[in-house]
Amino acid sequence: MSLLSPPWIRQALIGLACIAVLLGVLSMYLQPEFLLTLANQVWGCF
Amino acid sequence: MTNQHKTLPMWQVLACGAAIVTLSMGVRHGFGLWLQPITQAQDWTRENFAMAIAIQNLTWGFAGIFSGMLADRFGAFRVIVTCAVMYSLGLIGMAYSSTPAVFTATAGVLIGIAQAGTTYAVIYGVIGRNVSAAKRSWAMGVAAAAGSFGQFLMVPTEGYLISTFGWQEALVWLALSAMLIIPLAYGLREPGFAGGATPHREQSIMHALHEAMGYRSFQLLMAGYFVCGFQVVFIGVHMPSYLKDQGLSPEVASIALALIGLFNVFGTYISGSLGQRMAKRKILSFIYFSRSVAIVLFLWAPLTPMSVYIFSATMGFLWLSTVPPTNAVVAQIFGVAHLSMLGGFVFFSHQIGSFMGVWLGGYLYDKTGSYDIVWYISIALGVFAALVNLPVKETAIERAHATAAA
Repeated sequence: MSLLSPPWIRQALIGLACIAVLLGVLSMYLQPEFLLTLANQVWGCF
Repeated sequence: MTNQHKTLPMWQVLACGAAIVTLSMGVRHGFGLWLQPITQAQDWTRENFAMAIAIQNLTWGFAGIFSGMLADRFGAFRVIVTCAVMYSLGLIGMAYSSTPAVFTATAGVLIGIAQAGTTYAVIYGVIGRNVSAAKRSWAMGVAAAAGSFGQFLMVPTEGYLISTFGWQEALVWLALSAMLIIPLAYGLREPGFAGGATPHREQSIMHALHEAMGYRSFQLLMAGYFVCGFQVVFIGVHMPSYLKDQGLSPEVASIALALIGLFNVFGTYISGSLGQRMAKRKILSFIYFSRSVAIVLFLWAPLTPMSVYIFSATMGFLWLSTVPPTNAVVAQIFGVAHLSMLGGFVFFSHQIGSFMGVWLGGYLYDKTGSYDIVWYISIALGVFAALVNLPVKETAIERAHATAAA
């Protein structure tokens, strides 16, 4: 029997992978340089 | 088993549908980043750019009705492929338009039609026909979360593309990425539509439309979705300006945008999952009421970066979370034969609300010098939507006689 057979383990791993990806994207937003660029461009719209 | 009754594997529908929605919703979400480079390079006014995007939003809503009809009649595959090509052409046109009129035709009309054929209404039709009712709301939540993720992912990605390749070449890269929708669409080729066949329907398009438009619960869902569009787009477009007026630093608006994107992913997935176990009308009512409460607290509390972040996370959680339950209720009431078209109609109402949110926000700001009145309207509309969703009947509509086949 595979180690990943129990559904809750699979679900937990998928959940963790999703959270890791989301945090990775969030870290892109929080790069100081990008934050400033985005701020300038967002603010430039208004 | 005949082709009429064969369905696609759920994992395939979810993987391909989610990836298509991720690309389609994501690409358009960062368009604001092009305002400055395009208007400066072409020597156009901001109004030229804003007009094209406004027309894009209205076209998306209006064309959604017809792309839904076509997807229900000929299958989603053909519609998605055609619209993916239009998406790429629209992006190329956006990059190389020489006049505002051409820019409006490509970035506005062409991309608007393309979005109609590659986003929720069409994908939800495939999910409805291929995923059992026992998992449908959850599956719609997964697809909506993918769209939310696309929005979250593509803003920094597009910012990176612009800073690395320049605004024009960045659009060409986006056009190439939109073409990825075509191979993904092959995963949504439904056996029931093979060889140009149309599955047997107990209703014609006109009959389905007439039935839905005359049905009280459908009207109430449309009214609720109008409010969704109004609130979300008013806040999305006007909040940076509001924060600026209140003296907050520009970085606060950027972090707010990131938090809305992040929590939107969780909210859409959770609302879809909850729709499997709870009455969807109650979920919708809760979402709309919670939005009103969040706005009241935001206006009432002293404005600080932290209050902005808490508000953004809360609104992000409630942002597109209305999408799965609204579409799942439509499927539950009317069945899935005309789901894309009916989803298109509900979404049209959403887009009218979006237009009103942007326009009224700007109009009343110009008249009064503040956003106060529009915030109050948003609160009142949230309470209104919470109330009108409560009497929605989620049970399947009773049909006395089967009518002519489509």
